[in-house]
Amino acid sequence: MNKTTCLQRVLLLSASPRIKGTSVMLLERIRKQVQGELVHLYLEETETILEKMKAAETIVISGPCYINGYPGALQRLLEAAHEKAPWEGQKLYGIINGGMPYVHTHRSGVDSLKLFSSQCGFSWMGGFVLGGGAMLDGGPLEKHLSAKKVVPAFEQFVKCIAEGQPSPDALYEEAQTPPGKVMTHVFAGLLSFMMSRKLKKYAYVLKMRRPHSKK
Amino acid sequence: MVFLSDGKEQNVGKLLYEEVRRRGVEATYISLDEKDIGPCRGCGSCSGPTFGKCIQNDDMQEVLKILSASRTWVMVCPIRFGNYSSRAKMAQERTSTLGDPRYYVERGELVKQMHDLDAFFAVGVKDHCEENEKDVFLSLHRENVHIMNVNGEAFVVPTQPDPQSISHIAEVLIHE
Repeated sequence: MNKTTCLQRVLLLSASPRIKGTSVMLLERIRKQVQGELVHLYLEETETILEKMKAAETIVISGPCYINGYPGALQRLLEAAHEKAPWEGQKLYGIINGGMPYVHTHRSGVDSLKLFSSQCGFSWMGGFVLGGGAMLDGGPLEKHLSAKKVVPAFEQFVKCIAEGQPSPDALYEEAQTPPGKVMTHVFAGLLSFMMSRKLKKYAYVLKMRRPHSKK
Repeated sequence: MVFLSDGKEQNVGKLLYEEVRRRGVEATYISLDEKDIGPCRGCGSCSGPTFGKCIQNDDMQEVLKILSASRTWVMVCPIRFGNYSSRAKMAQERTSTLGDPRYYVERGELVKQMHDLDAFFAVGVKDHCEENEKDVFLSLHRENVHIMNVNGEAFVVPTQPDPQSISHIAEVLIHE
C-alpha cells in the first residue's frame, strides 16, 4: 500500500503495559501508513491522554486481551472519558489481541468499546480482533499462524483508517480459522510443556497431567 | 464464597452477601471501593520467577489470599459499557496469578483453568440497562467461565432490585 497522505489528526493509543508488545507493533504498522501520534496509556497521565483524545479527529486504541477484554487500566480511562461526554464525534477504531486463537475469546473488548463510543458521542468505525496475537510477542504480523489471511485483512483495516471509512467485522472474522481438533490437543500439550519447562527454570515443578484431562 | 463488590454506586453486593449469610452459607465480603488495587502490569512474574505470587505490593495481596481459599467468587459491580467497572476489572485481571499456567481442552477449544475454583458469578448493576448492553455483559461472563473452565452465571439488576430478585440470585449462588 502506498503511504497515505495525512489528512486528519490521528491518535494511536496503546493500552498495553508493554512498550514493545504486539499491541504497539500493530499501531506501528498503522503509523507507517497513517501518520499519527503514538501514546502509551501506562506512561501518561489520564488528563494528558484525554486532552490528546479531544484534539484528535481519529483515535485508534490497541490493547491486549486480559480475561476476555481490554485491561482495566483502559476501562478506567474510558470511565474518565465518559465523565467528559458528550464528545465531538471523533472517529474511534479498536484493536484487541490475545493469546487464544479464537475471535470470540477477545470480541467482548471491541463490543464494549463500541458501546462506550455510542454512549459518549464518538463515531464507532470498527474493530479488529486478533486471536493468537500474544505468541507474536511484539514480532511482525507476518509470523502469525494465519499470516496469509491475517496480514491482508489487517492491511485492509489500515486502509479503512487511512480513508476514514468504517471497517466491517467480517474483515477479521473471515481471516481467522480456529485450529482443528488434533491441532488443539497438540497446542495444549505443547504450550503446557513449554510452561512447565519455563517454571522448572525457576525451580517450580508442576505435576504434569494430560492437558485435556478434566479437573 | 467470596463477594468482590465495587460498592461505590450499588448496594446489591451487600444485599446478596447478607442473604446468603442469612441462609447459613459461609461468605466473605470484600469492598473493592475501599481497596487500593492497581492494574496488572503484565510483567509475567506470577507465571515465572515468582510463580503464583503477584509482585505488586498493594491491597490485592490480601484479596488474593482470601480468594485462593474460596471455591466460589461473586463479582458485583456497576456495568460500564457492557463491561465490569474498572475497579472490578482491575481486581479480576490480577486474579490470573491464581491461575493454572497450563492449557487444557474443553468443548474442543483451548482453555485455561483456575486453581481450586468451582464457580465464578457476575452481577452487573445498572438502571434501565439496554438489551444490547446486557447482551455484551452476559457474553463477557460466558467467555470468562469458558476460559477459566469453571461454572457460573451472570445477572443484570437495577440499583434497587426487588427482594425476589435478590432471593433468586442467592438461591442460584448457593446451589451451583
